[in-house]
Amino acid sequence: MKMMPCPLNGLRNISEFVYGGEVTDMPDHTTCSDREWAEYVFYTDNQIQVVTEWWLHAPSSYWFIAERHTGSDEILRTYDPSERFTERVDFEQTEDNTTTGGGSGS
Amino acid sequence: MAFSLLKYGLRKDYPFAHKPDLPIAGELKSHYDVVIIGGGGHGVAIAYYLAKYHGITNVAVLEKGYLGGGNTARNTAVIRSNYLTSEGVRFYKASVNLFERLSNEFDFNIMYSQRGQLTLAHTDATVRAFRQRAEVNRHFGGRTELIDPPAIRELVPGLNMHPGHLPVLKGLWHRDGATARHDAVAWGYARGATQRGAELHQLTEVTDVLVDKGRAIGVDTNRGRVKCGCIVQAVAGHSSLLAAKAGFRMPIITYPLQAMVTQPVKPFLDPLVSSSALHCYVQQTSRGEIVFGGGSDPYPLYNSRSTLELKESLIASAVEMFPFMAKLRLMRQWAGITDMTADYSPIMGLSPVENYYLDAGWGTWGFKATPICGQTMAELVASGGKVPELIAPFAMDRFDSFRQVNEMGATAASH
Amino acid sequence: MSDPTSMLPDQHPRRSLAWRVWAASTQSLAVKSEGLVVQQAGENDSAMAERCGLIDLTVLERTGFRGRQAAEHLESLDLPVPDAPNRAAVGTQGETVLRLSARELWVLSAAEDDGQHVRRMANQPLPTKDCYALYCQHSHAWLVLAGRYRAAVMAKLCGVDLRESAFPVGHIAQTSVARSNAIVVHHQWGRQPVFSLFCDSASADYLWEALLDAMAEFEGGPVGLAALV
Repeated sequence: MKMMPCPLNGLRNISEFVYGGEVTDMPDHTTCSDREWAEYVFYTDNQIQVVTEWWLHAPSSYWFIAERHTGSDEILRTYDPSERFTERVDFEQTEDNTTTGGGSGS
Repeated sequence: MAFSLLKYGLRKDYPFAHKPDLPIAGELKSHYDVVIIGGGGHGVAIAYYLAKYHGITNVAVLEKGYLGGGNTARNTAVIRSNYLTSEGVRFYKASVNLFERLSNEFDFNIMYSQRGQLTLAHTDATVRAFRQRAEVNRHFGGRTELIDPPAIRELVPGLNMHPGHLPVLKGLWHRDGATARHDAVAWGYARGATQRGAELHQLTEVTDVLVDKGRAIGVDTNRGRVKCGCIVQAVAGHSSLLAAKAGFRMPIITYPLQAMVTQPVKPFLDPLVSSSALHCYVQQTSRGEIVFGGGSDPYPLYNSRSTLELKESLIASAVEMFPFMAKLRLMRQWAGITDMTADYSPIMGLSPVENYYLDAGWGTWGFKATPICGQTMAELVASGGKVPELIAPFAMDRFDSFRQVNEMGATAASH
Repeated sequence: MSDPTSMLPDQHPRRSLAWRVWAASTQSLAVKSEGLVVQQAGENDSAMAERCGLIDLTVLERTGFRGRQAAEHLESLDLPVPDAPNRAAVGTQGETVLRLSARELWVLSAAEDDGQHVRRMANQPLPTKDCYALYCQHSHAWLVLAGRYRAAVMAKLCGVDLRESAFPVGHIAQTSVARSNAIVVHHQWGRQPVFSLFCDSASADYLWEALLDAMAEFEGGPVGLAALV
């Protein structure tokens, strides 16, 4: 079975991990256009190359980052997200989006 | 009879001159009206309908490998129209209708066999979704109904009615469900297209797409430069790679999809059977082999390797459904590279580049759409970019305006 | 409350979600940590626990903390904090502290008491910042596999090497057991070293049966608390 080195748990079977998508920069959802948001949500490079991705080690609920080649499936490096994200990201609640998501009865 | 046999047997010039089914294409011309990239079922079907209905024959189909050697050869040949959305059902129903008369049209047996497809529901939520699918299908003229366990037992006597400890509550019985020889579909279209004047160039790889002021004007290939009036890309699992050459990104992620086939056994299974919860579909081919497959691989990759873990889980599911399969031996296993869209519907129509048309995002549902896709794409090309109504919902820019056509539930592991 | 030894498991308000699968192999019950556990499973409990025995301790007290301040919080409560993730340490009063990641810690109650220490600790005020309570009491089931064949049993269900040489007492493996996610802790509990398995509480009955199936060839089976403590 293919193995993946988890930064927390060591080398484990690939079946213990869940793919979480590419690491990309999120546009500011309060100011970006629909097109920019669609670009972020749906569009991908999807090339044969080394990609930087989120992965989850499911038994420990631990998210980390992996660099992997999408042609050879070789995993080049895995590391803790703290190497890349040093600050907590908080989403500000704006006036106009506090009312969205309510049902017809609200 | 005996005399004429002797007569022709002794003659050098047999009166029925042998014509090759596929003429060998010569040198590439410097210009074509239409260049179709990808010589799979879809590519040659577009060429076929361009020639047949629109009289456009100055067409080159460029294939980097050989005819129908990609996903056309790797899919598990399921033909059905029991989707969920009205856009999806209408489109695939038109495809089923074309498939039904394809052998006659080609004068070439594609071994179309309408045995019906049965999808098993194991939860109340699935039963509800199936009821909706049956209704939508019937509305568009498909033959789909919900059936009860006794009817299921009658249709599929060998089925375990508690696979994986999940009860079989209902079945979505789709009488129009069918299978066909996938290679023959590609061959039939290729023969029809080339006989009408289109050229099929195998071992011809497109290395670059030439774009001038936002318009596609030609391609570079390993055999030289070709100018053209317009380009259609129909490259299955390589859509994003080719689109990058034309200078744009697509809403696609590429995953491998694995399938396998057992040794042949006596006929025991007429319909195509799949389980919604076990993510497994099983069918017996006309040769007696049992073909089975499941969902896509769990992460993106451009590599058609097979993995042990997927095989193990897929076999476990197949054996749950048909316990006697535990005694069978696997003969072959393989993988195809599939371009998945976020809503599990295809991408057809215009692209950000003018005169560059898309036939992409076919994920795990491409084979069944071959005829209708060929017909509508040909219409699009021949009209110079007027999108036929049937495929308008599948435009790539539906993602920009968040108008997805959600077929996830109707696609997963049913193919 | 009536005599637990003559009680049916479903008559007690605090019981494991998996009680139905072990109720049949139970001779007597006991109340521990206000919850129902098997006191004796059969005649050969001690011999079984020596080979390989399985018991459901889901009702026993445990708690968890997460955040930058979680380690400091435990230290302020006089509990040892293992210096690396996936290690366990035992406190002076018998509690086992699990370090599941840099910022996640669980505390398991000791075999010897009734969970009052952990309960008291869980009721202490949390630091005002960067330390959050984890409700692992209710999210997870706690199964204990004891006996000298415990690593051999696990080898049939799990891809990680859990033999003594690779996985001594004090080690933790968060991995897949019988295709289900679980935390495996090698620690001293009661009289002997055991594997404690924590899985999603909804998978407890599945894992119980998978473990018993794997234990059969070693002549293992369910055991009672009396054989361990």
